This record gives sequence, C-alpha cells and structure tokens, in this order.
Amino acid sequence: MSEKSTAVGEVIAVSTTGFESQSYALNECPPFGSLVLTCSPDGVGHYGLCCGTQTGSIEQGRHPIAWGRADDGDGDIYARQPQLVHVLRTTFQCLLVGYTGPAGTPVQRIPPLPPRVHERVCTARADQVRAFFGDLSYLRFLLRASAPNVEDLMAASIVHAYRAGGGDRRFLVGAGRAVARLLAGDHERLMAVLELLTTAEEVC
Amino acid sequence: MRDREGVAMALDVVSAAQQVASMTGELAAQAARMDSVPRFAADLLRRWHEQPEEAQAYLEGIGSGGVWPFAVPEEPLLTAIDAPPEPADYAVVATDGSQIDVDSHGLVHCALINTGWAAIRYGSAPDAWLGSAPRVLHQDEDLYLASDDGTFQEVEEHLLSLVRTVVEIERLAELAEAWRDRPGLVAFADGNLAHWEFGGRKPDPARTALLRRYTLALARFRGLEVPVCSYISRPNAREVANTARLLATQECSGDGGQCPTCVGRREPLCALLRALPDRALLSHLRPGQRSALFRSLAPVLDHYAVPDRVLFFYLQVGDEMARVELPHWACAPEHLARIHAAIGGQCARGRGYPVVLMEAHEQAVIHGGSREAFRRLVLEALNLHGLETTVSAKRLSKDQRAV
Repeated sequence: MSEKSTAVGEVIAVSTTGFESQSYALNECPPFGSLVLTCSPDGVGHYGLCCGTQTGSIEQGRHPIAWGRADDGDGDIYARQPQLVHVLRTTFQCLLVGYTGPAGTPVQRIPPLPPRVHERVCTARADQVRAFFGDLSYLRFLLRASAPNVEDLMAASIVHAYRAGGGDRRFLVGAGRAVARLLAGDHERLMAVLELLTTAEEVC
Repeated sequence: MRDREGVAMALDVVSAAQQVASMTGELAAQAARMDSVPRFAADLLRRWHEQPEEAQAYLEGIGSGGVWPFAVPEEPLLTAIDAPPEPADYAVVATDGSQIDVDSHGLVHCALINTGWAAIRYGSAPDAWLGSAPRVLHQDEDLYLASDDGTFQEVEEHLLSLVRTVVEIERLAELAEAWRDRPGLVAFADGNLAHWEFGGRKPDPARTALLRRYTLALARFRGLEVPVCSYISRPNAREVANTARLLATQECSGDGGQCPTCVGRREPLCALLRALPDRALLSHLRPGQRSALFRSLAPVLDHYAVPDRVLFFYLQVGDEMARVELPHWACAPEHLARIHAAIGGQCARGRGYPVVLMEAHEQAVIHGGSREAFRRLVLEALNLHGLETTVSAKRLSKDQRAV
C-alpha cells in the first residue's frame, strides 16, 4: 500500500512563478527546501519548493506581543490564551518548479497556469520526491528565480531528496556535479552549496 | 481659507492653535480650583461610610427627582473588596458590534451591522470560538421602524446604534445559552447595561420597541443563571460624585449661603464635586479591589424587569479604574464573586483589559478596507442586476475632490 500524501495547507495567493499557502496547523509548515504538491480538481498537480515561512497575526494591523512568562513551559502560553490559535497563522512560500505531465510524470518547467487559490497543498510522498528529483533541471529555475538565500535553498532541496531516497550517496555526488556545472563561474557560491551538502551527509 | 503664503488650507491651524491654548489655560485654572476638592470628598465619604443606613435613607428620600443622575450605595461608601482568585476552570463570552450607516448620498439605501463575538474557556480544556455575523439592513421594516400610531421613524445613525446594541445583547444571550454547560461561565457586554440612550421614562415608540427586545434579551441570562455584566474602561460617569454632592448639601450648614467650610471660595466645594468623575472619588481602592455596589436610578430602568435593574461598581485594574454594571439578580454573593474573579483574571491575561472583550471587538470592527469592500460588493451586485448605480452629486464631488 502506497504512502498517503499529507495535506498541510491551502493556497492563498498565486503568481506565475510561485504560490503562498496557509498552514492548517499554527507554527507548522513543510521544511525549507522540501517538495510539496498541490491538488487541483482536474488532476494537474503543481510542484513547489518551500522557500520561506512566516507566522503572524491573521489581520493586518494586529501585532503579536510577548504574553508569556520566563518560567513558562512549552505550550503554556497557548493554554493560557486559547484564542491565539485563532488569531495567528503560519504561511509558507513555494517556488513553482514543475507540474504533473499527461502521463503523471513530473515536468520541470514553469507551469502554463499556476495552481488556483484554495487548492490543498500536500507534502510530497517519498516516491513522488524520488520521481521529481530524478531530474535536476529545476536547479536552473532556482538560479533564474533569484530567490533569497538561493544557495541554501539549492542545498536544502538536494538534501531533502537525498534523505527521501534513503541516503544514496551517488545521488548526492551527481547533484554536487550538477551544481558545479551551474555555478562554474562563481566559485564562492559553488563552495557555499558544496559545504552545505557535505555537512548534510554528516547529519543524515 | 488661505494661509500667509497664499496656499489654500482646509484647517486654519493657526487659529485652532490659539483656541487650543485658550482651552488648556482654562483647564489649568479649573485644575487649580479643584485642588482641595478630592480631600474634601474623601473626608465626606469617610463620614458617610460610617453611617450607611442614614446615607441610604437620605438618598432614597430624594428619589430621582433631585440632582440627576445619582446612585444609591448598597454598601458602605468606602467598601473595598479584594478580587477572589481566578478560578482554575472557567469560561467567558462577549459580543461587540460596529456599523456602516445608511448613506443617503450613496449607491443604495442600506446599512450594515456587524456583530463580533468571542467565547473562551480556560483551565482543563482550553478552547476558543471567535466569529462575526454581518447583517445588511435594506428592507423597509429594517430601515423604518413602525410606531403604534401608524407613523414610521427612519433608522438614522443614532437609532442604528440602538439596533446594534439590541443585536449585540441578543447574540450574547445566544452565546450564553450555547456555552451554559461550561463551568463558571460569565457573559460580558461592552459598555453599559443601563442604556440612557433608549430615552427616559417615556421613550419614543421606535425606542420603546427596541427597549422591549433589549430587556427580553437581558432577562434570558437570568433564566439561564449565567451572570452577565458590562465593562467600561476609563468611565467618565459622575453618579457617585453627584451622590457625594447630595450628601455634602445635606450636611452643609450654609443654608443656601456661605458655609464655614467654603468661606472665601468663589464656588462652594460641594458644587465643584460635580466636575469630578466617579473614579477620582475612589482612590482608596487598591489593584484588584472593587468598590461598593451602587444602584443606578436612571429613569430608563423603570422599563427593566425588577431583578434586571442595574447596579454598578468600580474596579481598580492596575493602571485604570473600570466600571462594571450588572443586573440586580447577579449581585447575589456567588454571582458577584464569579464576575469579580473573572474580570480580574481577564484583565490580568489582557494586560489591563478583558481579553474576551478585546477579541470580540477585533471580530466586530469594520476597517476602512472592509468598508470599501462592502461598497464594491453592493456596486457589483447592482451592476449584475442592471440596477441604477449612481451616487448623489454631493458624494461624487467629495469622492473626486476635483481641482
């Protein structure tokens, strides 16, 4: 029996190259660099890479302030102020890195249409992660998209795929080579990514 | 209007500044005249504190025909009662509202009332329920209230506020009913329970009908046995001050002329008491303590059921004095203690203001963006049905601000 996708949020804003989602659970979101999939009614899923998150007030103009005490334990503040989970929200941003093609296989390019607002966002299953990261063309998107912290995002996405694949060192080495080709003219940025990949192998 | 450089200005700030300076000068002079009044008031209240029955009997004798408005103390005047500890497990519900008035220059003759609510439970099973419900008033029976004599009264801004007040208390009663099984439930209204705005002894027919709805809703809390109160932050009421003034007049030996206490003063001290807000007379309260209970004599209360007639007390909540109003039945010791404890807990959790009221307000408030969204919604709906979407020339002129 295949692993089930887990819905973690809902699309609340879209553009040609990315989308923003609201988490179903406060203070929770897909890890930085992880792969998510949207589920549209017509069966076309959009692949996104989680590249940022924020938690704050649901309404503009309301600002979270410190309600806690120095001796509070984890969760005390939410038990003492039960309304907080209703007035705060966690959002996360994703770069669009592909969509499901006619055969159900991932196509790594900017989708013809972005997902629709209110589509559910699911964390990708291990088999979906493996299928998507069989091709590393998406790394070019990241560089072109001039995303913030792009070196960290490249490394985080590779590590995410590496772990989902059970720690296959050949994948890591292949991804390192792909990054080296893309950043051949920029030694500093290349070294930044490779260092992150090296430490990832140690903590995996 | 043009300023000195010849630039047109909507507000002549120079002229306004001169008037502000004059205003502050008068306020400073008034403050100097009031210098000895708090001490005079404190001594007065201390004397009458020792003879509560006499104070009550004297004030009862005046009824409500004397200086207006004043209140009859139900406890010795300088009563100060510590807040009971916040219960380990309790719940609170509150409502608040806001409105978009009928704009006779706008697209269509309609108004909107938005009722916000918050219900929060603390303790072993913390929980919260926040929400709001808008109601668009557009039918004739909503916008023109029928009178018994067959005439109609248009719902303008002030009357719409009263409709909102009624809708808020009705929603609060519904919440109290829905959450009545939660332990230690207390219901909070924003503002007053004694609503002078409904009119005095003889409100007009439209207000009479609204008042009937209000009092029916208020009676529901009694049926449910859910203590209800209303909370006013930094109140400016002067009922206790007027009470003190009456007591001062009673013991004054001046007999209409100068009494020995006030010799040499331009205005007698008892007359100056008028200018003090009640909170200035209750400086004996320490944080968390409540004052004596006072029975309000507002003529509108004649229309309330006897057990629902309103009393009030003041509460020192740290940085400010709050006023709490509650029906007579909720002054039973167990209910009063529950209300006092809940307010103490709510203010502690809300940094000086009850959390549940703050959240109800946030649910109710209609910000500028939402007002514009409502206007657009109306415009689009009218367009969809091919209805006229013109505004008055005055509104157009104000919107365009053409130069």
